[in-house]
Amino acid sequence: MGVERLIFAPPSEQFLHVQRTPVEATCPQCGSGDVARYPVANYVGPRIVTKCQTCFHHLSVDVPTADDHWPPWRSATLDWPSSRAG
Amino acid sequence: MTIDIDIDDNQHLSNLDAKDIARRYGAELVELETLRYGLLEVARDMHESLVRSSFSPIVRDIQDCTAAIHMRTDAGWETVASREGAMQHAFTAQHMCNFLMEEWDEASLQPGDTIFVNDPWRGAIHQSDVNLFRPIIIDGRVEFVLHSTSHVLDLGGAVPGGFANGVQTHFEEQLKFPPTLLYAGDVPVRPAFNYILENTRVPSSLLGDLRALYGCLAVGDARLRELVDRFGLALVRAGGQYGTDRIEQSMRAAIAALPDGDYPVEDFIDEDGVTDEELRIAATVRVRGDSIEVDFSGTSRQPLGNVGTAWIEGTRCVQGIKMVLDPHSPVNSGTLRPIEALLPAGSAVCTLPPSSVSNHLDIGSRNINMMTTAMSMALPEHGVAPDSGNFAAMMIGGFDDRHGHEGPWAGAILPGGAWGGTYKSDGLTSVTPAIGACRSSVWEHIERESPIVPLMHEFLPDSAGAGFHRGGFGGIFTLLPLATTYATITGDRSKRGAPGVNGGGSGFPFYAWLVPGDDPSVVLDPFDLRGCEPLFGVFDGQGRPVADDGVFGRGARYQTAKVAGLELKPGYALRVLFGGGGGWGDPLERPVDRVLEDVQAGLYSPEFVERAYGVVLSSSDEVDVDATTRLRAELADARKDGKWTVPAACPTNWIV
Amino acid sequence: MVDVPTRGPWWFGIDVGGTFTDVVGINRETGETREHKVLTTKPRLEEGVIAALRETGVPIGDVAEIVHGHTSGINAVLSRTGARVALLATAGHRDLLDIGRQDREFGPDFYDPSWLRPHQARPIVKRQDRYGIVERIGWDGTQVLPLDENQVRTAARKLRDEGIESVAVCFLNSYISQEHEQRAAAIVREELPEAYVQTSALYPVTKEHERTATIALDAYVGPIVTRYLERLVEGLDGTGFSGSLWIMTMNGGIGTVAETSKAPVFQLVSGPVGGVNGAVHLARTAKSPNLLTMDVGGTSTDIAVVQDGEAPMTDLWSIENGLTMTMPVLDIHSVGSGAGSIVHIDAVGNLRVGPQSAGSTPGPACYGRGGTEPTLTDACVALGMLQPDLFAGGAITLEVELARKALGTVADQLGMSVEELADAAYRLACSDIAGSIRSISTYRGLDVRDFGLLAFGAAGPMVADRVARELGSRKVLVPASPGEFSAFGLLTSDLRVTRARSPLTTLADHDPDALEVAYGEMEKDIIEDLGRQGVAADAIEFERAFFAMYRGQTWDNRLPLQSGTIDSESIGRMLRQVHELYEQRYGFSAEEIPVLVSTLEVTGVSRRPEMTTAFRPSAAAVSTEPQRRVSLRLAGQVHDDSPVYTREQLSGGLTVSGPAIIVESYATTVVNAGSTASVTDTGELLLTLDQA
Repeated sequence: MGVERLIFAPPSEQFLHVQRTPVEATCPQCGSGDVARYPVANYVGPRIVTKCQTCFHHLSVDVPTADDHWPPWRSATLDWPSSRAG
Repeated sequence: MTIDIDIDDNQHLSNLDAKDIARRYGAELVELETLRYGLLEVARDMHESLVRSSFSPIVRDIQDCTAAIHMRTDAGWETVASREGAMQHAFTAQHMCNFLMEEWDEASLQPGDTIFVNDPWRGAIHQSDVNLFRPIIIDGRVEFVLHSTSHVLDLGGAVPGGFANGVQTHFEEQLKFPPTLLYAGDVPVRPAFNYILENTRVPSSLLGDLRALYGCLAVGDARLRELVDRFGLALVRAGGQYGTDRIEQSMRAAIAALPDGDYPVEDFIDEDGVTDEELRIAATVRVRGDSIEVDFSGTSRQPLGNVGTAWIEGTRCVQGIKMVLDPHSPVNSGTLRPIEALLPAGSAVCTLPPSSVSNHLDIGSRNINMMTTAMSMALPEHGVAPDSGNFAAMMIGGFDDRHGHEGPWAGAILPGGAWGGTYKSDGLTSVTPAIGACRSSVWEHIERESPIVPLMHEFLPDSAGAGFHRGGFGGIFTLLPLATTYATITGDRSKRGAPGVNGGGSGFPFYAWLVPGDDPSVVLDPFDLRGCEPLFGVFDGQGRPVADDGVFGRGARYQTAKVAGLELKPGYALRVLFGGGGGWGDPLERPVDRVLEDVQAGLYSPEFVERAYGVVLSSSDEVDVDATTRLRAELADARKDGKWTVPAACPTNWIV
Repeated sequence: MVDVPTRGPWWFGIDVGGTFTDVVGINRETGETREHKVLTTKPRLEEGVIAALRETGVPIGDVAEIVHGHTSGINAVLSRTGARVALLATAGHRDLLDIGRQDREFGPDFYDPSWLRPHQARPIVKRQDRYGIVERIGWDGTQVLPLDENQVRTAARKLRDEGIESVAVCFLNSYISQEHEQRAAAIVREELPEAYVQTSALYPVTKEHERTATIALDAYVGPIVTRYLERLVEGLDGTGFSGSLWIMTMNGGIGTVAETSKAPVFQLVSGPVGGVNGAVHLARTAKSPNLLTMDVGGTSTDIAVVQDGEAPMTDLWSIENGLTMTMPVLDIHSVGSGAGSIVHIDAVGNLRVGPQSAGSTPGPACYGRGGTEPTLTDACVALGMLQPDLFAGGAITLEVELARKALGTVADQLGMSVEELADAAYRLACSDIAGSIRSISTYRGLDVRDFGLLAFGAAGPMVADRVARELGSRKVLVPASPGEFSAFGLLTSDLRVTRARSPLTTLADHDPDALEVAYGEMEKDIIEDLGRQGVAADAIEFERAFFAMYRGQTWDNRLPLQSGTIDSESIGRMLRQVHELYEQRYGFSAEEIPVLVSTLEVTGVSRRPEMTTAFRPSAAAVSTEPQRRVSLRLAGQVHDDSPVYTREQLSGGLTVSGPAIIVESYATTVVNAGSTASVTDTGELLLTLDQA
């Protein structure tokens, strides 16, 4: 990973939306089959949740991986070894 | 039966089973309470130390600064206590700490290390708000992170004083710092200090504030260690956990009482200071059981100008929800836990680098207004009208040539704003919009340190949105420079004032003029426009402000209320008029004596109360009851037929 | 030492509260004490004072000194019954009192959108009575705009036509030049010779909002307080009193009527200061250095912290948000819960106790003086805590049925029994008081388990055990004569006079001789001032202090100045003191930045002779049998056959376990189940709580 997630072109669409990806699962809390996976900002930071859309029960809360592009930007030095000064 | 004693969260414990709590946290209730408040006290002490030892007016007087304590938990780092000078800091601090601690190599940290961050793509609000973090290592592991944050007057870049209105990238804002070691084991890192101090316009003020920000963390370190030495780490942690759980419970109980449902809301930003494109901020607030999801889908793409934000709206929205649902408890991680936000990447609430986000004020204010509106939809009996939506924020500076004061200077002025009417009261006058709730400057200090004279700071009559409970009143601020001064003005709701709710009217919009400063009677009369140059606002053909059907920017120097590099010369004063909050409820129902009180106080004119409240005065002290009854009935009928709406607040007696 | 006339041996402390007027006398020759309590006589407070004094039975000719504390000022502010005040402010700034510091108070209402700044909701100076006067003094004291004298005169004539009796004049930058203010005040006095006029001369410090608030408050209470004191002096003269009358002020010291009448705002809460002074005295003599003090009167409860035997001072004291005074005063907080607080249902249907109070007229329903609204006292009667025939030394016989009837009106609305309502109201009041004590102790990082709760005021001992349990404190102390403890505390107060100057110059540039001269001049002034109050120059102790900060800052720090003549080495020592303070208090110092001296301050103290009333355990054998047994309802539980003892029985060595009631002349102490009561060898009633 290098500098490719530091600078972005502005989007072309007028209005933007977060996509929820449907997941084949049943909510253990309420039994609903309406479950989706999507990026959120929860109380500690960026997360990917798999969540029942009927009762908001979390089936999973994952720390995003590089492939999730969430958040879209990323430090260029994230996986470099650390010096005394950071 | 049971009686609801309506006890504030921090006032009462008798509704809890002390034995249950003791089992759950492994400590006595009285110890947990002592520690919960002990942590708050450490934060309070840090904040007081910061305010009392800082140098710039924005910290010591305005108090746009906060101290917080984050604690290691299974989830990451959670804020267990804060003493916020600006309300929003309590909601944004936790993410910043997590971004930092995920990125920084913990193994390299040593006691006394202090890290500097102001990067909006790592959770900072904008680059003018700097953050210092001091990890607290106990028994070889970082257990707490102390955090101080403050707005600073200048941090270099193309536009003095931040609020880089008119620019399109963060490169033209104040310098941006990813996490940077500022003190290594309590020793200042000279290259870091040199870089900062040699790239700012006011190095003495900045150095002073950085020392105060660092010093208060050292004070907090000592206080926190006293707590740990006395009670032991396990008990202090239990107190922190208990404190956040209590607040989470309180929030969840209030959310659970709302009807499940989706509550869509939207608001607008006039323009972005670069194009005249209006920005739509949209959110759907979804309530399910005891949790909430705020989905900002449908929001405009990121603007070319600086009015979007990178990351913070996902937690700033929580403030608006809290203000209606659980206003009386302190903020900590427990406040945030029940709420998640969806931020569309590339939208105005999740702008991508290298966009500029230096004016975060307007979008933040809209966000909170939208959330209180959504809560009012879910809980109609607790409605709250929007606030003035701008601070009339000004960053000013230049070169002082007064004898003995020669040198560069900078200052910040937040003349204020007003809150909207609520279900139980008129709106508050003279307060910044809710992301801030910061203070005013002390004018006697400002005058001594800066070559300016704050000529006028008063309420603006006829500026409050009409309503059964009216909005708070907007204000007048007039500044006379004694030396050439450069000003940045940052504001919005300059095309339309703050909207009303439940039938209330909207507030007066935001205006500015340059005013000849030689005649005190002209400069001190806000309605005297003779010889004045309009800077921005909505005007009629004669240059009179008209809130309802004028043209934005007609005859004015700017087509935006987001201005940078405005040169002020001695002899000319800058006058801004800012609007009040929106009204709540039907003004035709407002008790006549309350309308009369505002007229007697000179807050509303007889002309405006007749137009907006249907109240007819027979003299300055007396209401014509019959005429009022007739007029109110006529207006109510006209409204039914779609021929009358509550007029926006607007003074009428201009001299042009 | 004060030059005590030889007329008589008696010294009296008189404390006028919202409900009761308390008098305590000490015979300095014999150690004999007298105390008396009467209902406060509103509006003519002096009548109660004189009546109470007379009823002690001490011939007025034998009284050498009276130290007086009262709350007429604060009551006028809290109930907004002060004078109608006009404010003359610099044009463009007449809304300063409403704008405040534009802040929202950090605390439970910080995020509440319906919160209103108190001065907007309930102004002390209405907007129509605020006049923007065209004038302007610049930052350096020079004139920017001349004073528009015609405008002042026109405004003054309008005030006269409107019958305004009090005028506050506060212009911007008057801390540096008072020329415009004094001229404007002179014009007002010409046009309204009868009016009360106050200016920044009161305390000319920087920060325009706080200074304006202080002056406006002074103008608001000035006419009431000064007229009261005039009437009191007249009334005392009429009794033949020829001793000295001292007034308690908020800096913890006392002064003559003439001196303290120059700035009545300094005696806003003068009565409660006596209580805190008494608590400091007790903390030292009873060797209980950490105390939370709780003075529960009829209308309100005053609370303070005594830590390590000292009561803290503050330089920013707020009555309510936005009404903040800038001057050094004892840090005392007040909450609107007292024995006379009215039990009611508020607009949203919740049970509340206070802040409205039945005061002394009509008083609680059980007083039988026409009160129909139930109060906390009525609740305590219904719960069995107050013995109808043993109340207020027998001065009032409580009428149980009237209490129950009044409580019934509220209980019916909630569908509760009278006892259930009384119990809920009692617990709610205790909870309110505990919450306010927590705000100055637990919320300030103090561990309440290190503190004893010192309960006084007539109603303090009635709620102390329950309040301590809510707080988690395990020790309650009730002083001798708790109802008159504040009055007793008045007698422990010294004469204090403070003078200050604000040079705002660089410390390192100071000539030590000039500094010495500046302090010397202020001390000379104090000697004259105290001399007028009868104090010999050699009886005055001086405490010098200086306020300092780094250049570029505005929050200064008070530092004590080493005693002795200031010489060339003093400046270096002062500089080191400043840097060390910064290092310790703020976590950094900056030795390269010039240190500014903002204020030079000196306080002259004339110590009062020690007032001790040696506690002597009762020599006579006392009965260990209870006086009677009653049914007592505590925390929802009914304890039949709970014993009632007199305090004298405990003084005789008896230890009592709760549930129990301990009565004395003017107070009743409730002892909960799990608490043990005894009297210490210094005479305080001590409650030890089994657990929090």
